[in-house]
Amino acid sequence: MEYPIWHLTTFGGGFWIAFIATIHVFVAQFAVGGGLFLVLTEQMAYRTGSDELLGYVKKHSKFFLLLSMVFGGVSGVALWFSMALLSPQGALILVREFLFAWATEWVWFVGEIIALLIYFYYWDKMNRADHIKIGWFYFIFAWLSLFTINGVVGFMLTPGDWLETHNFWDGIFNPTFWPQLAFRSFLCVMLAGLFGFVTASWLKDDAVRCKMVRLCSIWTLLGLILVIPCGYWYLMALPPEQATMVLEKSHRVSYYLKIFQITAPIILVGGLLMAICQPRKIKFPSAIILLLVALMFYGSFEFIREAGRKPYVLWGVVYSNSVKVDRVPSLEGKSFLQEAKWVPDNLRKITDENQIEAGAWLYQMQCAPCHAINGPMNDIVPRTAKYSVAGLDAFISGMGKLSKYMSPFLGLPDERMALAAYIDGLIPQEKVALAAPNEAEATPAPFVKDQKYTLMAWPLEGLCLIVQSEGRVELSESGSIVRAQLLLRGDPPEVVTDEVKIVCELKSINQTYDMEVKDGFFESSAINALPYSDEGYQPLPLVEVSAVGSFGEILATTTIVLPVSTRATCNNCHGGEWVVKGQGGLATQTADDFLKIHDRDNHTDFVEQVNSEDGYAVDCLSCHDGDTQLELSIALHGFHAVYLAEKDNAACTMCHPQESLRGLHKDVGMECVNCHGPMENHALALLKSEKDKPAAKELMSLIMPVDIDVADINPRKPWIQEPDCLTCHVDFGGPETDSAFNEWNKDKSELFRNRKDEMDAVMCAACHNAPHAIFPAVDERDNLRALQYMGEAKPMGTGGTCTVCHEDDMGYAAHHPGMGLEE
Amino acid sequence: MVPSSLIPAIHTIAVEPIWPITLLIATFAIHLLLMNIALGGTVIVAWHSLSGGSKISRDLSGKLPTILALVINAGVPPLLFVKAVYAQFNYTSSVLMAVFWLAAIGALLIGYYGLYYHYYRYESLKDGGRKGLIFMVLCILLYVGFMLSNNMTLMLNPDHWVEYFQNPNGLILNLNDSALIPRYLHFMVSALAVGGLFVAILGKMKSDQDYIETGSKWFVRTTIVNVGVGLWFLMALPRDIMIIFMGRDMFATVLFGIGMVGTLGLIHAGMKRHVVLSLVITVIMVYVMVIMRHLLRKAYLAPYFKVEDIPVTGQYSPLYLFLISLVIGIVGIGYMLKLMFKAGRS
Repeated sequence: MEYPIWHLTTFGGGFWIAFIATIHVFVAQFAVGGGLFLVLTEQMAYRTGSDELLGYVKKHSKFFLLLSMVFGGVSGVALWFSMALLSPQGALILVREFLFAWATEWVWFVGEIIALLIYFYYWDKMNRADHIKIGWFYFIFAWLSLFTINGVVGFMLTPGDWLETHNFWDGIFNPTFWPQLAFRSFLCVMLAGLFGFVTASWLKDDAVRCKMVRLCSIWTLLGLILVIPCGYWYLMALPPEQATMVLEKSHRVSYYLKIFQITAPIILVGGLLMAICQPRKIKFPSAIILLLVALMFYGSFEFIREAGRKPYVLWGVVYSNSVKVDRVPSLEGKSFLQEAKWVPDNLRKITDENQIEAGAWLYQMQCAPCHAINGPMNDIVPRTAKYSVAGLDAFISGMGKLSKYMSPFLGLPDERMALAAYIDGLIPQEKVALAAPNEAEATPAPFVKDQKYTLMAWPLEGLCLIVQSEGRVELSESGSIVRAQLLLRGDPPEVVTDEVKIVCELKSINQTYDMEVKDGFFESSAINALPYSDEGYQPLPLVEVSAVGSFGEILATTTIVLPVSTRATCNNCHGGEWVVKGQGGLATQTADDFLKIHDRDNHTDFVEQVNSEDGYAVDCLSCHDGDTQLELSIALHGFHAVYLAEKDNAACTMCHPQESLRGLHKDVGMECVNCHGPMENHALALLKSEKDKPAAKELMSLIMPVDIDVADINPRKPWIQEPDCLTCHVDFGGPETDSAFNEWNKDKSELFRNRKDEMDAVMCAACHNAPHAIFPAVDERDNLRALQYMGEAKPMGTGGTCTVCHEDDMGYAAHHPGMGLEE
Repeated sequence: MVPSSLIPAIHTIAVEPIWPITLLIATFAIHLLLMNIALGGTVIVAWHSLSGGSKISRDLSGKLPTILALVINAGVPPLLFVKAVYAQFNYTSSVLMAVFWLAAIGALLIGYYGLYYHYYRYESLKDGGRKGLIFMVLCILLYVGFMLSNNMTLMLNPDHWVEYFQNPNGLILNLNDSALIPRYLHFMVSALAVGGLFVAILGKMKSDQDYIETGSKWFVRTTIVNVGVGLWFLMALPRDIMIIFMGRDMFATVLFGIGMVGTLGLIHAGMKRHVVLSLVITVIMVYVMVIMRHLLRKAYLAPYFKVEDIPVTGQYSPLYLFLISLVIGIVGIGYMLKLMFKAGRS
């Protein structure tokens, strides 16, 4: 933010650094090992008196000069340039803090170049002993160069005590200095052998070629054998945070680790083959192929190492996006566009007109250092294709928390949204918006005047949210439940459960279900209602509930809805469309994304499981039972709260469908957060109920509560504890507050769905309907029962409608205080 | 947009800036001398190639790759020290012209291999190929030099940085600066002079009068031309900066005077074919010019920055490390050169 950003798209994402560094360091390390190879082979030639061997060394030295001095030297400068261009802040700190390390390295570089020039140009002019000395000088200078630069490179990943002391020597002799030096030194030996194969392949004399190929094999294999334990030493020397990043958090590591694991044996076998089987047959192409494999071997190591540095360019000092770590606290809650120096004046404040352009500049400042646009390095387009704009916004807001390999986004919410909108605009395919529900017309069951019985029925849940994908994943228990109470009208009315049968029929499929007698009420088995129809999405399918007498006569009938939704908008972030086109349902692609992320972050193998021949869907609840793992609701809310902070009710509707809240509360302008609290507090309350689990601790550390201390949030067990109606409706009166958060019922018996009136007779839902859809509901379909019995949508028995159940109007609110009967 | 508001924040430095500045001046002069030989030598080879080549061009072409290796090597420390001292200016200007700047390295690599190819295939290449190759290398070297001039002037002109907001793609050059072209030419024409001097030195070492004559002619003629270019450069400078050499800053004025007198000395020594004297005055003059260049930079940046503003942490031990390594390096290199000369003599 202090420096201008070189705006790149296809070749963004640090392409130039990665490209130049990989090739340069490969050649530069060859320059070290190759120097030793030259002088030792020269000595061998003198010792054995082999003119052929000497001739080979001379030729090899020309190749060496042209590759290591010309290409190695210039590409070294190129690397330095590219770092300065793509990460000026980091490069500047390296230059300033280690100025004299660079200068010292330059001294060795001068010595190296002069030694090499003399070595090459004085082959036949200098006596052998002196020439050997020059060769040794070359190698010593070259290795000293490696030694010095190794300190600076190591500092970038593991600054160690330097973070506290800012002492030059602490930075140079950092925690990985020695293992990295050993690793690179032996890598140099290996590379010397591999490059030796190339020049040896040009030899025409079979005997000499055979000898040289065997010699190069020894170098290659010796280097490789020593490199591997040093690599392990290197990994072990990493401080825990970087080691975790390398081994667990960084997603691309596994890919490069595979390359590393594949290429090492190839080099080993290749080296052995060269030595044993083919020294006479070695050809230039096979030598080049082995060299390229070595480049992949070494390159994959460098990428793995780099992964440990994420999300910094200098670990703990400068983020990959060139923002200094110590600057971040002062930027929190501030506009990045205002604070950054290199932003056009007209973009400092976001408007509808400049949103995308501002997003583009934010992208360049905060994303482009690591992500190309339609390019080879960490291409942003495929990585974000699965997100909607809101999903992108959510993901960006959580960067640096669970996604520890990403730098945190800096800026205000509207800037974050501008960035999300810009990125979304880069993705060619557009998300299809779903049509609104298209419900068929519904009429209440007929009202029979002076009927003997009153049948109250309601869905157990305000909405049954089905999150399942066949054969892939199941997040929710299937089936919706209907409850009912049959009342024999009179004074007093009587709750009837004997000698009567209650049945319900899901009208869409004409399937009838018997209901069982429970504690003063009837309950259906799980009814697999679905919201799909030929006419469109219908989340409120009708259920006709009937009370049948012992002779089969219908005592009473009522029609209700059984709210069901398959529109959990997981695809905001997890991609995929809908399994039923234009209607809803978790798409396979969406489900697979869950599994992929779960596998990646938790070392499971669900993708493999579901794709295997006898594969079966992953049942999330089988592990997320609150015992072995966090209870599913806790895990989901805890995880997603990290990405959905400061969004108020929008956090809820990111995943939960619009049809979730349909009752009176919606009509009076209340939202999810009024009862459940903002996402952060909601999640923290849930997490606190399982706070001893490590996963809960980690998630809690990443969520900042809203307007409350964590200590003051009461733990809440999902589904067992819910917001209590009486928190607002004290003594059943009008609401005294509009926030029910943080007061939970003690146990299941106190849930609204299980609670009865003060006479322990009539269930709350019998009069008020299901939670989230209480009378009078916004959607008339929810009000069918109220309309049937009272002709208007309101709680049963209120406003002079006692006669729904009673024979006469009552003067005393027996069920609970209020009921419109008290002044 | 106030251009000065774009200048990045200052970061600490380990030692008093006078140290890196001194090292900057010392090493830049070496780089400049070597660069002049490489570029001037390439021009002379190219010029001679027009008439089918000569002994001089054949001889020079063998030396150019080695000299270019040393040019690049000697270019590292001045760039390092300029980045260390003027970080917030140089990193910025480099980013603004990123494409041209990074391309300079690619071009340099091609030019470098081009020089080797030119040398190794000198005989086998046809005349046209040789000409084409050496002119390509020449164009590359001129390009690299022009980019350096652009970067080193763009870093001095925060007023020009605002162009970034119209062009953030790394494609900005400092072409609006009226001092850019004369400054660049001043460097390039100097290279022709020093290239000529190098030929004369070779002649002196070989006792070959043809070399001395040819080299001295290049040396004298281009030095005379460069007087004019230098004055153009002076006149092209913003007035309040130019007058530091006209009496406002006594040290700068004295150096300017020495420069003028030294130039006359150069022309005189060249005309008299005093190769060693020419060399001595040239080396002195290069240092004088490099110090003047430093004062010019200081004057340009005066409204925005003084080196004294950089917070110093006072960690001197790394400097000692460098000085010790420098001594070790010099001893080692000295020993190797001794072995080389011994071999040369035998």
